[in-house]
Amino acid sequence: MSGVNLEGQLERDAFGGPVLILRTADGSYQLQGEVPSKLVGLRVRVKGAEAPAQFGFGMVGPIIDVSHIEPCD
Amino acid sequence: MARKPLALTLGISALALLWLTRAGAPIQVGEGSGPAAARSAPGTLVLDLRDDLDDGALAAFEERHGLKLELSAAASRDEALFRAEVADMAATARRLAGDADVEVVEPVVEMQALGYPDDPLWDAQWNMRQIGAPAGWSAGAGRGVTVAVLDTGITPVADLDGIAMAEGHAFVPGVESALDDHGHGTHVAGTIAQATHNGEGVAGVAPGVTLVPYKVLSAHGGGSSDRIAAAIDHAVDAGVDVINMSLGGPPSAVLTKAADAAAEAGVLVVAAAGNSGRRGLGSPADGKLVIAVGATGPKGDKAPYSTYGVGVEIAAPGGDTTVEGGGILQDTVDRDAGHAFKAFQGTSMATPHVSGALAVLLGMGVAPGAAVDVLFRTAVDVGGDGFDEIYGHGRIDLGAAVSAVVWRDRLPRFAAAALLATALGLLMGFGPGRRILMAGVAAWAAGGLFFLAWLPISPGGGLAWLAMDPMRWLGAWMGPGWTHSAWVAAAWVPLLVTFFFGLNRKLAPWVGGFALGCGVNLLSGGLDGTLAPLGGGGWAGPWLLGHAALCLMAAVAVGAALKMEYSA
Repeated sequence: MSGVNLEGQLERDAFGGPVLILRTADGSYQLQGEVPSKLVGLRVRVKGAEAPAQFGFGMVGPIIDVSHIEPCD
Repeated sequence: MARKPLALTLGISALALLWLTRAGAPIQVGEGSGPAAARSAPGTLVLDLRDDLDDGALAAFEERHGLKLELSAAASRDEALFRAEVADMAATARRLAGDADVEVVEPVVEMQALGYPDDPLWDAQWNMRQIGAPAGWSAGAGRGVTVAVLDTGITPVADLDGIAMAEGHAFVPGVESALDDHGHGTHVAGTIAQATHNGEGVAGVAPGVTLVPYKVLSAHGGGSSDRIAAAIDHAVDAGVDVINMSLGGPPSAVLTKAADAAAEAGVLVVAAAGNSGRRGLGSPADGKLVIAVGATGPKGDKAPYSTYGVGVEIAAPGGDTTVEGGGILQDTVDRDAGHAFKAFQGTSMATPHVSGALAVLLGMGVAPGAAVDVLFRTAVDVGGDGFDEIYGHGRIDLGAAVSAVVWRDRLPRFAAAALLATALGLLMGFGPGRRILMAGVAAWAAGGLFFLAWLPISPGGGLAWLAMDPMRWLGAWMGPGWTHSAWVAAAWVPLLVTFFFGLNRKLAPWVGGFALGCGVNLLSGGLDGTLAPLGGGGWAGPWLLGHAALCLMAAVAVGAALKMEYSA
């Protein structure tokens, strides 16, 4: 479980359930953990780690357990 | 005398055509909609408000008009569709029609489903119409086929009532039940086998199958490669026919190996391509023998999120919830209401369309490899350039696949049986041509009344059984574990029929023809791999040959007895 620092656009989609997606220049990530809904639609910075269970129905990219998230200035 | 059966056949065909013209007819709305149709009486109005009204604006609207709004359905908030009980429908409707927040207002009209199927929400299932699902219901609906759903589990919600479900298995740490604590798995299961033509909710692709729930994803939707691989191994050992995996993740050798091994064992393994919208499949979709499924939207072309690239074999409706009414609607668990009809999107939703379609073809007696071939061959070439990385062979068309099986497989096979029966009848001197005709028709019918595939019959009714190959009745009746049993691929049914009815003068021509048709069925099933008794090993051939010979002997014995009686 390696730590990651990411920056991108936060979106919410409904791939069989609400899925939080971070779209970065390198690709898409699925975020899980405490993510305030007010950040959806904004550009955000994320600190976290790859989740131990990487399989699911989201299938948008690596699943990240979020430890900190904040809006970009 | 032969004209009567012919006239009967023509009559049935004409009735069938009449039915077919009604098939898929949308739900009819009662006459006179709109505010003008409202009567000056207490009643319920339906209000379609502006979609962008927030909760504050709704409260202000209620206060302005003295109304108490209720959502028409749990999922109708986004569409701002509400109901309101009013004292005077006509006066209230006229007043509301002048409000800028109101797009449509009219009395609630009780819908009456006149078409086929009679599921009230069928009109919203563009996906089922797009793939020609009704043809699958009339072709046996996958009866006798088991489909393992590796997902968040399956909960038997209201619109899965009556659907066969085997004991579930959980592969999530700390979880013992395979019930769905999320909602994704039940939705996927609904696309495969939602109770259909039952007057409730929505329809599924193959409501005749037996579902086998495997809970491999937690309540949060996550799972691990090793546990999913273990579930695949378990499903193979349990003898399932199809494995549906509306899930995925990064490349995983252990998971991809398990999925390919399952396919090598003869199980059809179907997996979602992914929702990244980019090139590159993950596991298990990247397995060489796995059928990876891309998603299409309501217009039939690529859904924006669908992952593409090497390995995508086929596409199916996955929906697009950014388009009004563009999601895939199925019944699933709901934390508040217990269950609800929800519209989802994703290659997760596309995958069960393919699994259900393959189950229908397997249920028709098509061998696994041939079922995949026919589904690929009849797919709609959306891209227009043949096989490509977005749609693979194209978007599935179950209606075309069923027709192809009937025309190219069932029809020639049993026409041959009918000809054999006719030849035998002539050789043995059955007597009048009427008896030879009976034997020929019976030999033909021994493969199941395949023409029912073109009629709008209920997938849960008795007629659906008649559409099946009689050889598959026992397996379908007994369920998982019996489908591939040697007891099924055997001459027991024609022998019993011969024993009890073979000496009945009136029935004998039918019995002889039926026994001969069953013999042809056993032989051809062995040749094309549809029937693989005794594990499909070296004894399968002699077993089938022996039982086909028993069928022939039964037919000859009936013919001899008939000839003796006729001569006497």
